[in-house]
Amino acid sequence: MKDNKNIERLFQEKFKDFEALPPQDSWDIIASRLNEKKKKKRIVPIWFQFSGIAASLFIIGALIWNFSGENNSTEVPNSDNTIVNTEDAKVNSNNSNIASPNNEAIVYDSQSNEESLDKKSNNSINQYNEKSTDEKLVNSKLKNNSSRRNGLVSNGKLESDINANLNQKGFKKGKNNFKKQSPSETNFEKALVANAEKNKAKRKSKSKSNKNNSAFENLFHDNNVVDNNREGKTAINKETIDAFFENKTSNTTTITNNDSITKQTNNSDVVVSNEIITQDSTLVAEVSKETNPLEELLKEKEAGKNEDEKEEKRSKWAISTNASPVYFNSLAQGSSIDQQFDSNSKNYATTLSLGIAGSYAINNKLSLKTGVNNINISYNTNDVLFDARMNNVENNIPTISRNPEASNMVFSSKANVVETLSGDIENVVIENNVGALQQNISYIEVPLELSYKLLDKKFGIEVIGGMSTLFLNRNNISLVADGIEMEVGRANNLNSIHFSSNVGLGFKYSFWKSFNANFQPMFKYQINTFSENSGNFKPYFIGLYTGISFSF
Amino acid sequence: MIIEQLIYECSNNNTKAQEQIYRLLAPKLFSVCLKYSRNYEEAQDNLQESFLIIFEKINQYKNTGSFEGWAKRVTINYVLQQYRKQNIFEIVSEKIADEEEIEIDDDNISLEFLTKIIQELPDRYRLVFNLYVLDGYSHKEIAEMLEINIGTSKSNLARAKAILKSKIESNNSFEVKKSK
Repeated sequence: MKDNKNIERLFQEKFKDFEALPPQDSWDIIASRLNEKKKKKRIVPIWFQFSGIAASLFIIGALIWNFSGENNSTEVPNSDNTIVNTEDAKVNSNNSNIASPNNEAIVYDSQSNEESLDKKSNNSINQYNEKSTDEKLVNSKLKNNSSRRNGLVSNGKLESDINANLNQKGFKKGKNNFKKQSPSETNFEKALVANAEKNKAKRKSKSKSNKNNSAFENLFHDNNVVDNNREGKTAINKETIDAFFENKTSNTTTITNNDSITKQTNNSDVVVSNEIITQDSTLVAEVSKETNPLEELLKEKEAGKNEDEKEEKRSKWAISTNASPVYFNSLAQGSSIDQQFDSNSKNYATTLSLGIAGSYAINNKLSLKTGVNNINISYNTNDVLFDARMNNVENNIPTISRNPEASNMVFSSKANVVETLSGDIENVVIENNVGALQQNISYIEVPLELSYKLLDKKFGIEVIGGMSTLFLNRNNISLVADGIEMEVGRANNLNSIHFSSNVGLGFKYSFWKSFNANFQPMFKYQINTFSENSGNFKPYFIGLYTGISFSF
Repeated sequence: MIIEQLIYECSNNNTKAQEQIYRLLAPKLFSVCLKYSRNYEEAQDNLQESFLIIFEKINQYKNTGSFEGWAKRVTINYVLQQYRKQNIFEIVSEKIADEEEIEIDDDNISLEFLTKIIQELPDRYRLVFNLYVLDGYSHKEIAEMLEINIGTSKSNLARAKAILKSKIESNNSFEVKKSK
């Protein structure tokens, strides 16, 4: 059927449901290439499993250390609190009017313990600190008790507070023998004591008709002293007296109360100083609000400085040499030479590894290390019967590629032969031809390790995890018997390149400038050492890497 | 639902699932490859490479569009990438032919023939023609995909159609002669 058609329409219609079967072998080619990819990928994941274990151990260790480190740092301030406590005790013994509600404060209570004040609930309503010229932090607390109490008591307290504030301001009050040039704590305590006694006397003469009972508590608060002492920046002789205002209205009632009291006693001084209290206290409040952030800034600055200093000290690059005895062993009984030697006893020689390494500090905790080590491994498979025949024999141990001169040797495990043979004569022969097969392997090891510093002072501790790539360097198998040592051949089941998974600890001691002495016990588990026929032989070695490093 | 299960298995490198996906998609994707490639052998190579990419990136397929559509885009992109590597896109723009209508006997024209003449087109004409006419991309999209400008895309399309038209016509006359 003929039709006029747009060429686009023609193709669109024709190709609308166009499907074409690809050639048969297409899938086979794709499948084989997918398999290749899988195999390539597989080598890496096995390796990752081990390094994953090492890394997770490492992270757990780091976390544990971090947490314990934080706990340690918060315990420091206690020493200062105990000083305050002893002061508490002192004051208590001198004057029964002074009680200590908690570790941090001394409460001056002129009610002589007649009533117990609810102190804890009123803590920290207003807590102010001021740095005065003679480096005193003076705070005071005004506390209003709603319950009816002996108003005279409050007067006594007032006076002591007044004293404190006057002292802080640099005023003299002759009555109380309280002078600004005597800022030492013992003087102050004595003054308080004296003051309290005076107040007691006054109280006797005063009426008990006051409706509002105001109690003033002096709290020796040591918060900032603690921090500052630790930093070693501010003076040691700091005293703090905390002021707590429960509310402003209570202050005014306090003042009016005391006005009436002072009228009775005609003590105008008290009235004046009472006003000073409130003024002072608010002053203190304002000043302390300013000083607190300033102090924080100072602290931050100092902390920053410390970090900077550390930063400068730390050099990024370091080079080290090391020598290590290497203890080689296998996790499972087995033989890399032949299955028949699986149960034979084996002697693993301790050998020496020598190397150099360079490290780069990623940050102040983590550093990356690489280098080159030479490792020799040697072990004997004992109780091997050997027999030299006249003619070349079939190689009964396929994993050994024989040297021509050893091609007439037959090796077998003593255990196997003894079982199969009977008769004394043979056994005698056997006894004479028992030796050991010694396998000597040497590798060039290129480690790549990450270390995390747990402690970085003059003495340092770090955890190390990583991997090594080992290149086969020397490989031979010798027969060692009484008076005989003969190179038999080489093992053909050793991979020319294999890997190890490394974990260990590092200890260092910096003995001179940028020189460190290092000691690193490492466990290195060998992965794919053998290409095949390795039986159940799972080699590992433990090295005690000892050396000197120089950072620049 | 079955296809989703298969896709999941494929992302776990399950060879059986991969084969099933292949069986499912190969005819459609091979048709794409045939259209976009120069010849049958090249189409086969492109198909294999595309499938390897599909299996490699199968976990990037988010069940938003159809899986077939996704696989087709992967295939087209792969093929375009090959030509981009070969730097064949520099062809001087040519005069646009305006005649598009063609007198044709539908039944006389085989799909093989059409595929063949598409494959015979110069590379960029073929790609533009395929993208625009058969796979519904706009000139703007094509320009971006092939890194050419829109005008070039339009003129390439016109040239492609002109070539195809002349080939169909000559084939027609050949067929007509034969039938006579």
